[in-house]
Amino acid sequence: MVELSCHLPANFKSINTLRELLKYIGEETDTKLEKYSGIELALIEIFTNIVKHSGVVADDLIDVRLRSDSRELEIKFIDTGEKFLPTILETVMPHMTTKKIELLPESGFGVPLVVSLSDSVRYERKDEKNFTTLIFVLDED
Amino acid sequence: MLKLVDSKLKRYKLLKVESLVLDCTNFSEFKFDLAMELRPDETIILNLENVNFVDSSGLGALISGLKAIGNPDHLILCGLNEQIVELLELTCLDKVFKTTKDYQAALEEVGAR
Amino acid sequence: MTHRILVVDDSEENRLMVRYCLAADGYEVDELDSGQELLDLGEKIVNFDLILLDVMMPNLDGFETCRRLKNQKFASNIPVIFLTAETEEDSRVSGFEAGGIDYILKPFGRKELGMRVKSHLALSRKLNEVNSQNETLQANLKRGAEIQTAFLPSKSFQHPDFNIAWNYQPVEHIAGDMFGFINFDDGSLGVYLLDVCGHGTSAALVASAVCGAITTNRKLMGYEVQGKYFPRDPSEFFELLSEHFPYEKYESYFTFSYVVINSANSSITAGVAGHPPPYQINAFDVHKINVVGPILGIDLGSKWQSQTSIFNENDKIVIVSDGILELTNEHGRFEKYMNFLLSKYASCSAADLVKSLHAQINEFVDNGEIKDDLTIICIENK
Repeated sequence: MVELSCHLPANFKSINTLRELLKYIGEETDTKLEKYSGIELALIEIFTNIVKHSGVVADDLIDVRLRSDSRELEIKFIDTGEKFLPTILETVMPHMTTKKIELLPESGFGVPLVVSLSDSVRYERKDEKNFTTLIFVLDED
Repeated sequence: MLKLVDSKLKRYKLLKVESLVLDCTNFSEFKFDLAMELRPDETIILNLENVNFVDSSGLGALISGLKAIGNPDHLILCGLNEQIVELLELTCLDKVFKTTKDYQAALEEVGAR
Repeated sequence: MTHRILVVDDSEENRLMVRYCLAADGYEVDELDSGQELLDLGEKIVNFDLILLDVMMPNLDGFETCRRLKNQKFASNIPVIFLTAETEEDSRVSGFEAGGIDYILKPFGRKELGMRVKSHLALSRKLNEVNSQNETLQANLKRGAEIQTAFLPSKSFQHPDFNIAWNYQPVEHIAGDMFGFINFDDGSLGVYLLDVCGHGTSAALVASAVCGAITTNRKLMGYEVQGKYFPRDPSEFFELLSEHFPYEKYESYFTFSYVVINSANSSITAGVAGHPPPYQINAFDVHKINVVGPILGIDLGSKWQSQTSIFNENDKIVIVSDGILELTNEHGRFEKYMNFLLSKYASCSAADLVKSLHAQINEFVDNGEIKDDLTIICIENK
């Protein structure tokens, strides 16, 4: 079991750092995480969601904690932003095929994507902080 | 961030996306650059072979491009890597966007070859 | 840097010929087949670096097309070269009168076309530089401060969602500090403070040139989608600005502080380029917005950041030029007192905050010498 944790400033520059962390933990646990392209996307979507919508202020840092063995990868995001609506996790992917082109939505895919890409998404509000946890089940190869 | 590779007046325009990602950091520049290229009744072929990552913001920008063009037959996405293909499938947009494997196939579609 | 050339000719054969000639030189070539279509492009024309325009076209000929094109301000700098078989002197003269800058006679060879295009692209670049330099030199020599005031917001500038106040105090008659407000069609307000390194005449010239570029080239600060103007992210804006104003252009570095605020979204996006960040006052505290970014004019390779945070009702943003933070007396730098003072004035109106802060600055300096431009801007979310 390998554990990493890092405080990342709440801005888009941290995205590359997030990628590096993921790569690193993959190396440490000897799992080819690149196979799972959805993991990178899910992490980045959660992170940018926090940056854009939680109201975290400039001085704030987002606490990112990764835990992995070869069977499962868990990533926890702890931020000091506003309370997320729990129902946000229940949002469904916006319907695409039945709509006319003019009516296609241009946003709102972020959270439904994360839910589709992860094996489990949990959200908890504790001590004035948001805890968002993603779990990915990895194939035993 | 769009390179004009080839075009035939009133038929098609082949644009190559030069950046490595299409995401929250550059989606608005993409939208602007694409808007500059649009002409009525011309098919836009967007070569994404350089792009290895698209997030939901990038996806939103592609949808915005499609809406600006107006006709789904007039936009062809090509050179999509696994990540982008998976993203389109997850959002059911693979049924909305026209895609081809590479730009050569797209050019064939518009009768350029 | 690749250049974009637009060829307008009703004959497909001719367009293919031009394309063939220019392709080898690495230009990106786009085509249109009528003068009317060229005019229909509207502002999209700025995407091109040069236009090759056929003269003999049905409906709207090349000369008339060029005349109408050049009547529009945004098209005034784009070089237009006519393609024609005409050899009479009269027609060539009409071409120049219509706003073209050169003529290529058909049939032309590949080399000739390539050379003309290359020459005019280089000239056009040089001309743009010289033009803006000339303009600022002339203006400054004759009218100095008047030019600056023209770029500054009018005293009565208002926005329905925000209370805005400022105090602008250049150390000399003309300043290296300038600031402005930009309205976007999504209800956002962009507020920028530009601080050219140094002060006095040369700094003021650069400041005016940069402000001028920002106001006339709307593509820098925002982008248009379907006729509506939206704000760019500060980091994108800085990238574009640094491309337009490398150090070599005016031998100056400059710094920026830029925020985009939106009342409907309660959001503020901030970015800085080599300048201390703005202060944000909200219900609980006063703090500097956490953004950094390199100075403009040097290519350091590092990118600019931007920071988005919540901007609620009654919150305030205070942008001060670094001249203020660097003021020093026997007790130290004025910057030390900023958090305390802003907390003290947190519940004042924007106008009172600016007035009080200005009074504090005067007290701090106490008849000492002020060596830099001082600018305070305060914006309150109504």
